[in-house]
Amino acid sequence: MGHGFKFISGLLIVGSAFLTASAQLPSCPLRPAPGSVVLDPTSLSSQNGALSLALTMHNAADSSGFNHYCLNYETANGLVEAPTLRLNPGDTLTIDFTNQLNVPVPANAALKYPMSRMSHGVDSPTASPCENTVMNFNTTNLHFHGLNIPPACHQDDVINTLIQPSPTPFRYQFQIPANEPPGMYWYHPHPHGFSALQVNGGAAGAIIINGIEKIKPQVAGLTERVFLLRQQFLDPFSWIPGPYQLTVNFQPATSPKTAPPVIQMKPGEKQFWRVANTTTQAFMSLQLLFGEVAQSFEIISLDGVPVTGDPMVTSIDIPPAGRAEFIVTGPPAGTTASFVNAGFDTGPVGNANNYQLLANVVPTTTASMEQARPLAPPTPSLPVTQRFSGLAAMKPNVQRKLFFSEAAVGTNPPVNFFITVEGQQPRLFEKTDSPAIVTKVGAVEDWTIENRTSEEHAFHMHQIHFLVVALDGVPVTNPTLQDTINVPYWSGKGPYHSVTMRMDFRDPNIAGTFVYHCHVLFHEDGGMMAKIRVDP
Amino acid sequence: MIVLRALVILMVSTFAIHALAADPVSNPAVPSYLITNDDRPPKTATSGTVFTIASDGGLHSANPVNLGSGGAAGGYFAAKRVSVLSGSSSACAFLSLGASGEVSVIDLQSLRDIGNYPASVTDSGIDNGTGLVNNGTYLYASFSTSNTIGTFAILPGCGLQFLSDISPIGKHGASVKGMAVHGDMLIVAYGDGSIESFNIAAGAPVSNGDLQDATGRATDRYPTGVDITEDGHFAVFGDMATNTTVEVSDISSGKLTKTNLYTLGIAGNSNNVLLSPDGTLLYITNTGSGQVTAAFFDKTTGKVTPGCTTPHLRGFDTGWVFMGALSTQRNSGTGSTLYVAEYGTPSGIGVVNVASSAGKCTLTEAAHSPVLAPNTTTLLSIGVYPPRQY
Repeated sequence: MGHGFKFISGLLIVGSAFLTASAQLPSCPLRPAPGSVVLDPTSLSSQNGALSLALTMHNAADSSGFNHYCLNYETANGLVEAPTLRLNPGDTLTIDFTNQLNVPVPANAALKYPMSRMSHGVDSPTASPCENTVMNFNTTNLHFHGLNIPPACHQDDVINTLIQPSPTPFRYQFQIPANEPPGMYWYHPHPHGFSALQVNGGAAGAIIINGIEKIKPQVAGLTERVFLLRQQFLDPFSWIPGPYQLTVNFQPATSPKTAPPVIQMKPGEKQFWRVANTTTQAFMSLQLLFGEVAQSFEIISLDGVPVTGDPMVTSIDIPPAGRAEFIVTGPPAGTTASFVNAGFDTGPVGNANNYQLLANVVPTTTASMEQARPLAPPTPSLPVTQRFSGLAAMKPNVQRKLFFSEAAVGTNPPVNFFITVEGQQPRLFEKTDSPAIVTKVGAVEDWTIENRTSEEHAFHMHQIHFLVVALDGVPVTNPTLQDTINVPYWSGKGPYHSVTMRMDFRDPNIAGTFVYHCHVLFHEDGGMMAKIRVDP
Repeated sequence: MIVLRALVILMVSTFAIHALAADPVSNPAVPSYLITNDDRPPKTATSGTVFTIASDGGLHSANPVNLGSGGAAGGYFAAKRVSVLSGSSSACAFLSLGASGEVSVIDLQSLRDIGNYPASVTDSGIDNGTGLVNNGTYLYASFSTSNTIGTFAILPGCGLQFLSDISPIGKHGASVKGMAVHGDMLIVAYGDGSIESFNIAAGAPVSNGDLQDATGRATDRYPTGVDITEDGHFAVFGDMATNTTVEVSDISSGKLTKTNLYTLGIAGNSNNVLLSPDGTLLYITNTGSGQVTAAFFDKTTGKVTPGCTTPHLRGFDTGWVFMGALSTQRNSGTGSTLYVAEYGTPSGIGVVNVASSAGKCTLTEAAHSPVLAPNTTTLLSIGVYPPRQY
């Protein structure tokens, strides 16, 4: 693969840079100040079957002490952060990705930041990023979360692809599968041991696979909004990271300490919201309140896959890394609604996950809608058969049981986090591990994941989605395809909670070695990850 | 420094180290206490609480003793924040104050704080507490924030004189998690899979040059808690693990040797270990599942075999969420009754009755368990007076 970025092709830039800022940083774009109108991220769309762009990873600390990790994209109007990438099924995505991190290693790093025990080796900038062994505070890479693409270097490999700081870009290039479900995906760094630090700093952007209106015609013509919920910790290097704040498209949601973000809608307007929980560890329970009354959402899609039927709910639980796309009806004139995380019980030793007002939803007839937009132009077509179709009727070849477990040294971290196949010895993830599971292309397997800990976990599978078929052994009446799911904590009594999911390894495209893990990123960095190898 | 050491030796000679404190059950005239380190958060004044132990093991009359400075409100499970001394003329409990880096001394005859003793100005345990062990002559304090072990000389009347610090570090960069002392030997577990012993004949710890990975490290089981047999033949480690795992090292040579690893059951985690007074049982806290395990310990070979485990103790995960230190009611036999610190809201003291005969054992939580710890929600450490005699 060639290096050196010469030419950007096929870009359609929608929107503009953030208009307000809390602090100017030397190498990262401005981020919006509290209390301002929430704008969608800058959006780049493919043309003629391709989208190419250059991203540069930088870091900087703002005046409040928050460490920004920014995926910079250069526009004619200056730098923007983490643009939304829009492609059709079958399109090719090319990203020339340059690592410009310059993170000072904390003193006594091994003592203060236990995940850094994974750091090893010496800097070797001449080594191929496809085979690098150096993992430290300045190592990075990209994971294309939810996309069903090959686990190969330059595509979606996070085990061996380790990119060190260098002026030479590393090229990611892959084709979106022609049968990829239309919906919301996302991209973020995934260097083991340091994922939480980088995602915590904001390095996360949305990917939209076009065409959802073909499957869910009720969204056609609606104004679309893209919201990335992030989380930033003031001291992510600490054993107890925090304090933290949630952000909505980078705007702090710290009400009542500061004015809340503002989402503008026309009175009573229906909009199509695409929301990604890109926090490192916040379990979201989203609600839209008129007064104290939770309003109905019509769920369109979960984790990028359109749902069956048209379920109406008043609350949507989204684990870290999960996405929900839904139709929302705005408040009538004169009423300000509240878009909230209603809070989530993460268990006796889980992290606090309290109620937080994310944004005021304000009806206005003169809405400042610079970036709100109708859905992308219709895709040429969608294949008749979507990926994973027929999975519910498939008979699994293999049944497996896995479990989450933990070993703590005290009331505070460090904690050793494990995900283990029943019958194997719990083991902290190491890059050099052999696969815990080996299977073959064509296999369909049922996995039951138990949570044997006193805190919530979020199971995530790379490369494929899974069908959720049972909760605590009870079959699910309306199974959904997801790539990340909550596995409830054990309360100290009764059997462990579990989720049973059907794994689809039928696509030869995903042959190779990849990982599954808890998407509470501090847990993943702390060892709660393992490998699976899918043989051709 | 030489003068000071000579002074200490002189003072200690008047001290009956390991004096034969009578078993309070056989001699009811001797008071018996359970002392908690209430370890409240750094910016609040903390306390110790002294319970009277009745002959049936019941805990009564919780007397708070104000200690002034704040604690650490938690931290390492295996760091013992209470260390009890039974001398011929004095009885006291040393309690660490995580926030200030001091050690407070409660005189168990007057039940009063007789002083807070600082270590060096850089010693601090504010993040994860300060562990304490004593051998009657010296008190050792492992400070979790400064990553140091401070040595104090124990003066007549239980006063302390700070001597010096060392800065030990595990093979993989971690700080001390648990300590135990026996005669001239101090053994530490770092919680990163490595262990080390020190010679303390002259007071300040000097490494025996045996820093090593324990056997469990290869399978991600890391020693944290430590105890040593009465004859000093074996060191026993409780592992940070998803199941019940302990390791035993033969230390009869004066150095640690490769540990033998024993997996004893599925009860989660095994940070704290305590040998029974007669050395036949090894008690283990399973903080991950709110249980206590007893295993059989062969004093001759150091071999550990499975014994018995409690159900989840009352209140686990509905009130308290972690387990701390263990102590026994009696200082003879199996100890009769086990006490275990329970951390959470509310904090309490779990009370478990022990029965063992003919190679079988049972652990039964007492009807009145847990006993409320009224002055803390962050209880990790307890101690019993009179202490075990080794």
